[in-house]
Amino acid sequence: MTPQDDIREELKAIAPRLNNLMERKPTNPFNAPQGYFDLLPQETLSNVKRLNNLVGSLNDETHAATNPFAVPVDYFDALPNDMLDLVKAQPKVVALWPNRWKDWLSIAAAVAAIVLAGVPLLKQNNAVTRQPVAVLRNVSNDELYNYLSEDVGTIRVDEIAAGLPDAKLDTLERAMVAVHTAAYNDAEFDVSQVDIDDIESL
Amino acid sequence: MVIDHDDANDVLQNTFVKVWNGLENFREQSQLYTWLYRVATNECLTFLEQLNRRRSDSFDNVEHALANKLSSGKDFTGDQIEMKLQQAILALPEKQRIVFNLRYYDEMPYEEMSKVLDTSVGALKASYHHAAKKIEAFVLNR
Repeated sequence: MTPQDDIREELKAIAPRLNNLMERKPTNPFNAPQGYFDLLPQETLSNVKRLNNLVGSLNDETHAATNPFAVPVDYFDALPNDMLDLVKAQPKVVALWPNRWKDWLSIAAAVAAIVLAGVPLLKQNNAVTRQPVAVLRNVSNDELYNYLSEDVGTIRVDEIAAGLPDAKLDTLERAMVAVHTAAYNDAEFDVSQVDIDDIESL
Repeated sequence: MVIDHDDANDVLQNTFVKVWNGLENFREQSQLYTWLYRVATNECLTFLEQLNRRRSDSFDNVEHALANKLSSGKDFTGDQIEMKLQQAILALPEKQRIVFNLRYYDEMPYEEMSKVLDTSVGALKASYHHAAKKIEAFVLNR
């Protein structure tokens, strides 16, 4: 059995259907131009010569010694002085951790101004909300009657009672219950049901 | 392997130039025939790698470009079945393609191929087996 037969048998064992398709002996299906192989040795040798000549010319002393790049006239004469000028110029020192005390001072001043302006406003606001008794004393009885008559649904005991002692809260609560009861019963609100003395005593 | 005649010519020329210049270093540890095949295979792989690098900005891969060259039919004289076989060979991974070509067309014994490709006989047999199976599936399914 020849090596070719071995190869055919091997292919038959691995891929029998492929082997059936390729019944005939494998042939190279690619063609080369006519006379290509006759000219090949000559062409190859001429390529080798061309390459060798190229390499030889690059190694040639005349080529190796010539620098193909030009420099401006007197460049190398001026170079030492140019370099010394560069060395003499003091570079700007940039601190790794710059001292920014001015920035920090500005920030501190701004914070202090906000605090100083904010504290009196805060105190004033607290004084208004925490002293309803003083506010109520400045309200006339007529204004109080009108307020209770018109704003029955919107009166909030907790707002008025904020900051009042427990004893005063009972009084306020009695007055408000009377107002709300009248509103719930859809009865005409009778201001006389409110004990104004109780409210005034707040 | 490279399909196109001009490309094959370039690879062959480079192979002979390298052989010519490296003849002094040929140590005669292997046959000249094996050495020639080894240089030619390396040149072929280098050529395909360069082709791949040149086409890296393209959506086409080398195999697709080679398949296009094959279907142009410029240097191809085979019939329809042979065309299908070539298309199947082009679809193989590079190593399997080399092994199949050396075995099927060049009828190279595995021992010789082992020296050319610096690979064990067992690995070459496995490569050929996979290649033949893939080609069979390609040819029969399309």
